[in-house]
Amino acid sequence: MNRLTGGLLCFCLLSGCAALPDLSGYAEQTQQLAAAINKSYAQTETDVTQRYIKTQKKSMIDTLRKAWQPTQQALTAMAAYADALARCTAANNDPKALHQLGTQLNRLATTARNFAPVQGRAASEIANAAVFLIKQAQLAATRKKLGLLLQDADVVIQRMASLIQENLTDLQQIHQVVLEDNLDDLFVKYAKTARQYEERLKINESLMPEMLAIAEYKQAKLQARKANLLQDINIDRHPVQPATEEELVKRREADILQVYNANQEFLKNNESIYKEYIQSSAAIEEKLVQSNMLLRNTIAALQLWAQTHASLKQIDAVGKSFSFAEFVTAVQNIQQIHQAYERPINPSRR
Amino acid sequence: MSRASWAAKLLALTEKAEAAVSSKNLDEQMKVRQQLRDFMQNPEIPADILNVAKAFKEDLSVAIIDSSIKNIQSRSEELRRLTAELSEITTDVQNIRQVIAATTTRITNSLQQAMVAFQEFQKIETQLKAKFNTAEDVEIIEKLQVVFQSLRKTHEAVQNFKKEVVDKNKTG
Repeated sequence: MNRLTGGLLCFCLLSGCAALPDLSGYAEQTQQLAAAINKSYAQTETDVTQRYIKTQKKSMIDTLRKAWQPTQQALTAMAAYADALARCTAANNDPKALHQLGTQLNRLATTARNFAPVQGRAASEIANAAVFLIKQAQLAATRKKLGLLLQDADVVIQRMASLIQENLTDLQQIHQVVLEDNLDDLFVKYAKTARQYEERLKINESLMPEMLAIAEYKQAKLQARKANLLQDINIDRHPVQPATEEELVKRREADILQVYNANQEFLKNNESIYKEYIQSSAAIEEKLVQSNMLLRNTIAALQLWAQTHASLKQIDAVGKSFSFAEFVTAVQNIQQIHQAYERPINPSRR
Repeated sequence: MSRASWAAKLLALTEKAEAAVSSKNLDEQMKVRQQLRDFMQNPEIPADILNVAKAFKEDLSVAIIDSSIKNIQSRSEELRRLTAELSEITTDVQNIRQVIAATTTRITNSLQQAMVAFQEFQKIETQLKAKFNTAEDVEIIEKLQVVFQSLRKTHEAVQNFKKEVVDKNKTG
C-alpha cells in the first residue's frame, strides 16, 4: 500500500515537472512537408524532361536536377532536425524510464529505512523527493542546452525557409513556362481545326430547326396529297400545277442538306482530333492551376513551419501548450492538391 | 489587319523580348512572353507569322528557364552551408537525448548497486549478531569493511549529485 501510494505520488510529481512539449506531430508534419515539396519538384522535372529530352536543350534537365539537389538536402536536414527534437523531448518525458527510476528509488528507500530510519519519514516520501530532484535537474539541464540550440537553429531555419521559398518560386516559374509552351503547341497544331469544328457544329445545330420544319411541311403535304387522291377522281385528267412553294422548299432542303452533310463529314473526320485537343488542353490547364496552387500553399506551409519553430525558441514558455495546428492544416492542403490532381482528368470538370 | 501589320507587331515584340533578355530582367521576360502568347491567340494571324512567333516564344522560354535555374544555383552555396549547420545542430540535439538516456541509466544502475550494498549490509548485520565471537568474525569484518567503503563511495556520489542539482536549479 505504501509503495502504491509512493508510486502514485511519484507520478504526480513527475507529470508536474515533465513540461517539455511533445514535438512528435511537428516532426511528422515536417517530414510530410519535405515529401510534398519533393513531389512538386518531381512533377516539374518530369514535365521539363518530356519537353526537352529530344531537343538540343536536353542538358537543361540535368542542370535543373543538380541545381535542386541542395534544396532536397536542406529538406532532408529539416526533417532530420525536427525528428531529433521530437526524440529529445520524448526521451526527457519518457514515462517508462521515469517509472523505472521511481520504482528503483522507492525500493532503495524502503530498504534503507529498514536498516536506519531517516528521521521518521516514509521511504516512498524520500524516494519521491529524490526522483523529483533528479527530474528537475535533468529538465533544467535539457532546457538550458536545448534552449541554446533552438536559438542557434532558429537563425538557420528562418533563412533556410526563406531560400527554399525563393527556390520554389523559380521552380514554379519553370513549370509554368513548360506547361504553357505545351499548351501553345496544342493550340498551334489544333486550334484552327478546333475552331472550324466548333463553327460547323454550331451551323449544323442552327440548321436543325429548319430541317425539322421542312420535314413537317413535307409530311403535311404528303398527307394532303393522300387526302386529295381519295377525293379527287379527276386528278390524272387535271394534273395539279407544281406548287411554287414546294419547289422552293425542295431547293432549300437540298441546299441545307448539302451544307449539313459536308459539315457532318468534317465533324466525323475531325472528332478524334477535336476531342484530343480539348482533353489535352484541359489536362494542361489543370496542371497549371495545380502548380500555382501548390506554390502558394507550399510557401504558406513553409512560413508556418518557420513561425512554429520561432515559437519553440522560448521552450520554457511553450511547455505543454505548444500548438502547430495551422501548420498541420497547411501541409494537409498541399497533400490534398497533390491527391486531387493525381485523379484522372475529367473534361466535364471544366 | 494586313500581313505587314502582323509582321510589324511581331517584330516590336521580339525587340522587347531581346531587350528584356539583355537586361536579365526575368519579370520583364515573363511579361513579354505573355504578350507573345496573346499575340499568337489571334485567329486572323497568318500561319507563317504564327510559326515565327511560336519559335521566338520558345527561345524566350528557354532563356527564362535558364535564368530561373541560375537563380536557384545562386542560392546553392548558402543553402549547403545552412544544411551543414543544421546537421551539426541535429547531432547536438541527438547528443542531448543520448545524455538524458545515459544519465537515467546511470542513476538507475547506481541505485541498484546501492541497494545490493544495503541488502548485503543487512545480511552481515544479522550474521554479526549471531556469530560475533566465532573464528569467522575476521572474515566477516573484512567483508563489512568492503561494504562500508562501497557505502562511502555511494554517499559521496549522492552528495556530489545533490550539489549538482542545487547548482543546476540555481542556473536553470
